[in-house]
Amino acid sequence: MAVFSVSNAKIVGISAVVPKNEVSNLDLEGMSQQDIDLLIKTTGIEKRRIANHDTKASDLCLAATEKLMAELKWEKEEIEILIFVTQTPDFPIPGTSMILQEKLGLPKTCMSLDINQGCAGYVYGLSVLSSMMSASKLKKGLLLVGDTITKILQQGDNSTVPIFSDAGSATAIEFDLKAEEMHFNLQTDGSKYDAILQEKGQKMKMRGHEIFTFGLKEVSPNIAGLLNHSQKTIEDVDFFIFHQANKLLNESIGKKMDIPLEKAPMTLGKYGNTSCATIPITIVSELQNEVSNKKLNLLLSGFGVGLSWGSAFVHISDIQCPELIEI
Amino acid sequence: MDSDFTSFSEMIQGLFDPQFTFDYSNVESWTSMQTLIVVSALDEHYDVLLSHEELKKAKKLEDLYAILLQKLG
Repeated sequence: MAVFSVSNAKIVGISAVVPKNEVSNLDLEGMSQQDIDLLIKTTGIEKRRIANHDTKASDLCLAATEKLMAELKWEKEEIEILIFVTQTPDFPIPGTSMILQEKLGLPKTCMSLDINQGCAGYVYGLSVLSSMMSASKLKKGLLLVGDTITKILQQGDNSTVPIFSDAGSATAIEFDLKAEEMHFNLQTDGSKYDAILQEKGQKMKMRGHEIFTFGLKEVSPNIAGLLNHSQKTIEDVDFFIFHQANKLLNESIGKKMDIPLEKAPMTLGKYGNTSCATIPITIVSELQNEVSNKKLNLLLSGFGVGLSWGSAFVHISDIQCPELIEI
Repeated sequence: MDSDFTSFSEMIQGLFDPQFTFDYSNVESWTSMQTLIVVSALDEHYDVLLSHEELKKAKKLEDLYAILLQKLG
């Protein structure tokens, strides 16, 4: 089982960026008003952010990183590792993390790595970065997580267009011998790889029913496994940050685990499903004050494309968390 | 059995806003959102997860109830 703990790595900052361009599901074409109302009520998604033609996921993450580094007063020369999680890279070849290393002006002594992950991407990326930093004693690292998923949707596809949205984020990690352990539980089911699929030269397709039942079945046992491993309880968690895919699904998972609604903030209404960026977007949008001024235990849970899913138990204490940026 | 089906039917009907104009008993006509609402409710009430393929076999609510009973064993 990929259930493990990571020592000596600490989250010190999180920032997030969304495009200024906002669209409303109330304006969807080809659907009756009744169907639109039910879609908004069920998914929770009323508004979405769409990047313009020239804006890439890497641009959103670049803006998030520059803001965060300025707030942290980090020097570029100090960064030893950069990981970029996305499913919408700048190019098929080379990886986009190398392009970001150059655009950020990071030194050649910084290693860069791309990870192709979606809904569970933030949890997976955090596990890889923190583990590498812990094992290798790398002092400062950046986790950039973002997608412009709306660029790969088929216009008129009502199983994807009303759901997905664009965003980018940056998370800063420091090596710290006093850091509280992070705990992870990561899982995969490749037999359903085609439940969300973009074939070469085509747009992305999603079998929503399959993803929904997968979430109902797998997320709560994954979280229970994580809590068991970390010897924590539901009551030890201040906030549950779920991947924002569907309001009904998140509420159903919450009911299964007796999680109070107020402990599971949602951003679906404002920002939709921003793929791998939903977790940092939710932290920055809904918990900015709390994570900036308090000591908190957060449980992060991502699930979807792959199928991949995972959860993380992390301790947050007085981190840098600038206001959500619009570009 | 009849009273059980009545309860099941009432539960399904109660999931939807009465202002919505649709025949909840005609499973074939359900939209994807209506289906997700029912799937979530069946998981909550009966601890049964219905796949898309299983739901496709049901034309009427009676068919869906029969599938549910079969899954419950």
